[in-house]
Amino acid sequence: MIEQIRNQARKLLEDGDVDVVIGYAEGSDPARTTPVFIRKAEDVDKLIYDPRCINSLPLYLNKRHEYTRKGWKKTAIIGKGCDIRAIVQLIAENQLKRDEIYILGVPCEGQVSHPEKWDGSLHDGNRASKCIGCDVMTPHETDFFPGDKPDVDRSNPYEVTSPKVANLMELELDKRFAFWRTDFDRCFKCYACREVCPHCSCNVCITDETTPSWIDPAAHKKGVFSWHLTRAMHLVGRCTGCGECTRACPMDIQVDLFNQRMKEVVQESYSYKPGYSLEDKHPLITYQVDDREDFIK
Amino acid sequence: MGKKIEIHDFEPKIMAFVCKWCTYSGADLAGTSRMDYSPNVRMVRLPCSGRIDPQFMIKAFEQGADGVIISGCHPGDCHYNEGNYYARRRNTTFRQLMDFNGIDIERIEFSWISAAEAIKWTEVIDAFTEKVRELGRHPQYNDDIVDPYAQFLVQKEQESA
Amino acid sequence: MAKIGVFVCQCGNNIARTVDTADVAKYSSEQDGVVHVEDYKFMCSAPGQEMFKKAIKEKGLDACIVSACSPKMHEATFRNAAEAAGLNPFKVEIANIREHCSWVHDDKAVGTVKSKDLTKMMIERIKFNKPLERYVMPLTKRALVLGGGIAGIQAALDLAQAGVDVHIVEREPSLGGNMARLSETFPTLDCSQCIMTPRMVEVQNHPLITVHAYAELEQLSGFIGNFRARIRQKAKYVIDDLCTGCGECWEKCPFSTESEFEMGLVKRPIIYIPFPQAVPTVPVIDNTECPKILKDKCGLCADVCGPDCIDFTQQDEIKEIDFGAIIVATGFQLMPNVYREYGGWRPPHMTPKKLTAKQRKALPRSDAGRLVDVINGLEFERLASASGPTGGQIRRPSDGKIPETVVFIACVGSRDCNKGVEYCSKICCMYTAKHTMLYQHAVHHGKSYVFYMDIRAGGKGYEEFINRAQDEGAQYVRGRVSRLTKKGDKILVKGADTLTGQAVDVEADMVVLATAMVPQGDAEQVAQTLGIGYDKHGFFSEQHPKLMPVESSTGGIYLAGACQGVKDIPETVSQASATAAKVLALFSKDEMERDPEIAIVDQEKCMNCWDCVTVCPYLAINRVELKDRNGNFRKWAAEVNPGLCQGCGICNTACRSKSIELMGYTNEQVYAQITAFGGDII
Repeated sequence: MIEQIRNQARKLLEDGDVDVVIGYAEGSDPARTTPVFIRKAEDVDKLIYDPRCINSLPLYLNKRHEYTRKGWKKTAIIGKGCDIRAIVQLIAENQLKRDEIYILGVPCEGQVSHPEKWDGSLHDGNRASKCIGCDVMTPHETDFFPGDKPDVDRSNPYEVTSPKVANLMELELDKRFAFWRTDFDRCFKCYACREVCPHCSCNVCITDETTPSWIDPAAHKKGVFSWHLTRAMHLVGRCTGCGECTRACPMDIQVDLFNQRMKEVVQESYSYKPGYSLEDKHPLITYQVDDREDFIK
Repeated sequence: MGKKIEIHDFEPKIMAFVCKWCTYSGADLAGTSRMDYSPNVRMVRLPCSGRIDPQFMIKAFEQGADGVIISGCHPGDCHYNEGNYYARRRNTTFRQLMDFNGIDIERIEFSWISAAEAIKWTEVIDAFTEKVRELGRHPQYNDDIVDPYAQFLVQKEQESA
Repeated sequence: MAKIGVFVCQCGNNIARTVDTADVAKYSSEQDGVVHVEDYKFMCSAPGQEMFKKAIKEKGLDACIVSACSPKMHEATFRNAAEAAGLNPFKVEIANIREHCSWVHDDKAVGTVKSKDLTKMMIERIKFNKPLERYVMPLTKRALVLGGGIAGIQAALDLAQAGVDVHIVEREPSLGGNMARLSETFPTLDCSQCIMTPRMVEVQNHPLITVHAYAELEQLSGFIGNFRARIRQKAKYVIDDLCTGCGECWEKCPFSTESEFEMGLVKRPIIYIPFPQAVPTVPVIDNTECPKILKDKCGLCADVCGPDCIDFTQQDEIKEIDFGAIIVATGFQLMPNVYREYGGWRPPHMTPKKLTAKQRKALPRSDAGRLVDVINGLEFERLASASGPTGGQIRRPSDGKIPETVVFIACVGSRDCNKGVEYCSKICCMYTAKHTMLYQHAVHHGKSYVFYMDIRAGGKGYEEFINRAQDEGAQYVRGRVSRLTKKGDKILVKGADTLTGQAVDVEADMVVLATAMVPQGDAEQVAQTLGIGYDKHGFFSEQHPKLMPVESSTGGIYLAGACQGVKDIPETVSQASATAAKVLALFSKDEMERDPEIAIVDQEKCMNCWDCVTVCPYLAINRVELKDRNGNFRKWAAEVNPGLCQGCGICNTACRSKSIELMGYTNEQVYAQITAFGGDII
């Protein structure tokens, strides 16, 4: 499979169709892979793909990293299903043009959640929680796919992948609040979760705004809460579930629990899954006259 | 007018974000008709309920509000045609977020109040003030708290064992 | 450092009784930035205003709070006063301590605390108020009137007489609309054509009015003061400037088809003017029927044409014209398909001439079974009209005999939730009474019956008119009609008289149905082309039913006549003049001033997600390319069109980076109000 990808990448570079191929290469230790930017056709053999490739590559297509893309007319990118969801969502939000991207789709059976858990193969003991119930193991939007691409029914509603969400919903309110309070005690506002998110692309983030200072940059409790609540609201209907935010957090806070719960809410209320259609508008900028209003007096 | 105001030990602070065409006029009408209602509410006038940002609500809770009221024109009556539909969607999701965060969504009241519904305004204010009074002070982020999740997980394991 | 003045009003006893205004003033004076406070009995009075202006000038105040009644009462008053004193009006805010405080809390301690809080919230807010300037935009002083009926004619004349350049676009070959079809009008029984045709001629002759007859509005873009209309001038195949209106062509045309103007009662030639008094008197060739255009046969009209002005090669012409304001006067139609049981079903006269086999199959009865003598109001008008197909004699459409007994049925389709429209069409009671009188005048021995539910005659002289109809012989029977059936060559009308409780059967020679007044068949498309709102029936929506009945929801587009709602001729003419007044107000200055409380984009921060473009209800936000000084593309950004933005703020909420802000309600201002709140409640 990877040979076919390499051949296609080589062909694209030799023909001058793309300026760069973004993919995965061997990392600094046997349990890791690293993102790689291939410019010359002879380097395509560095490209690999296996269950260690959990990094989300569409981050490099995001506008905030434009300085690295200057001069790239067309980019090829190796995309597993969840990454391609992010690319599709970026296109739907006008951050990318479809004809600027050449998607080399790869079939994926899952990714290993942490390098520490890699023991040579993917199994239930080390599979990342986001891979459970995945419906894009065969990616949905590609320009090239090695072999035949089977048809997959992706109409199933979104289901939360982390059991912690359901557990938290079972807790009483004050206990839930207490959980978040203690969990967020560790957050020191490094904003790694923001930096690694492929959808976070504002030129001036609302947290960096000083007139007014919406979100206190300090790492005290108010500042932390308002940051995470804002991040969750800004990703409603847009988060494509790559899980990178949690993976990037240096304090091991599961920040994407908020996003998963919101995805569940958006599925329940508006039957919407982000990242599957190039034209869809996310639910907060559209409306139906008969939207649910059971909570309104 | 003329109703005696009872003062309790705990008086909740309530912030209301209202649209200027419908709800603000409804509250004005309550004033012109000399109706009585609880004095705990402070209103912020906005052009449309579609202007009500969840940021305002997060901020209000941070600044000491115990309850927040959102109000606008009935669906179909919005002066700008669509603002209240967007407000509805935004609040549907925001409430769930607050709920997941452990903040009691009974503290957020969403109501459609038109310019003629002065009575509804007073009823909503009175009922909400009473409810928030019973709920008590909004838990501040600064309070000292012990992590119950670990205990919960232990309990769950014991139950399934 | 801010220099804020706080003026607390006692409003006589209205505020002072339940709020200690002196305490509120003292509390305000202790707030950061407040340099002047006043506590006065009636701030809105003349001395109050003087004090206000004096304080601004003497203390050099740069912002003012007036703690008084609702801003709906006096925000404009104080803003104007501030402007007169040299302070930007948007640096004045009102704290509502009357409707929201003093009048609703009967406890002075509580009221005072709340008033202090409300005033403080405004003080903190006003520190972030920007001194906004009203926008000035260019204006095209030319008006478009869509529709050449009585509403359009009235509006055009009013505007032209005031010196405004007006264009009328009318889709029929002639002006006149439905009023030209009428025989006489209620309540005076004036001849309709006699009062209307002089107006039509005046329109044609007026140097400032341009009539585009046989033309339609295809597309409209732009915004108030700056519209661009694309008008399709349909091919008449006749050269306007050369035609003298002599009539040789239409008299000699050997072919004919159903006349739309005559409601299908009679035929008209293929090259035709709709009626003799048509304005402009230039015929058009119906290119769906003309054999010369379709098959290159005939061409007789060109042979007999003296000035040689017939041109079979003419094409539709597109004209793009700029306008500053648009008056929509597209009128109404009578409900086209009436109930089967009434038997008078007839395809609407606007349908294609040739029905397909499927359409023919869909007709409820074959021609043989159709009761041809059951007609609607406009068809009766044509029979009664002196210039109509029967020369003013009331004759049955089936055999031309004079009817001895005519039954008029009211409320056909109106006031009917099941099969029609639920509203009352307002004019039918009056025109039915008129029809009985026209009939009695024409057929002296004739008997007329009116089956009615209620009589609605609410205008000047209207009730007297109904009484006159009854005096002149019309028999009013209160009850509905259940069925019309053929009985020999008469029509059996089975009805009821609810006042006597008996069934009433009448053998009528002719039945006239007062069918509902409904919007034109393409009203929805017209509304969408113009970008205005319409209700579920298709009537165009006014901005406010009581206070703004002639403005549509789109700035610069005004509504006149029956397209906005059912009305009679006096109301139509009044509304048309009202729209002309609105347009004149718009055109009274050389430039337009727009309220500055609109959205503005910080284009450097904007990350072109276009969420704001999607949510704006007025499509007021555009995508623009920003270029560097060499003309190279730099980035995309959103830009608000100040002419269209109405200041709702939905974009502000949708923007995640808050690059777009609604002036007057910015995040800073609201944030300041939220943080100022939080003193003791009681």
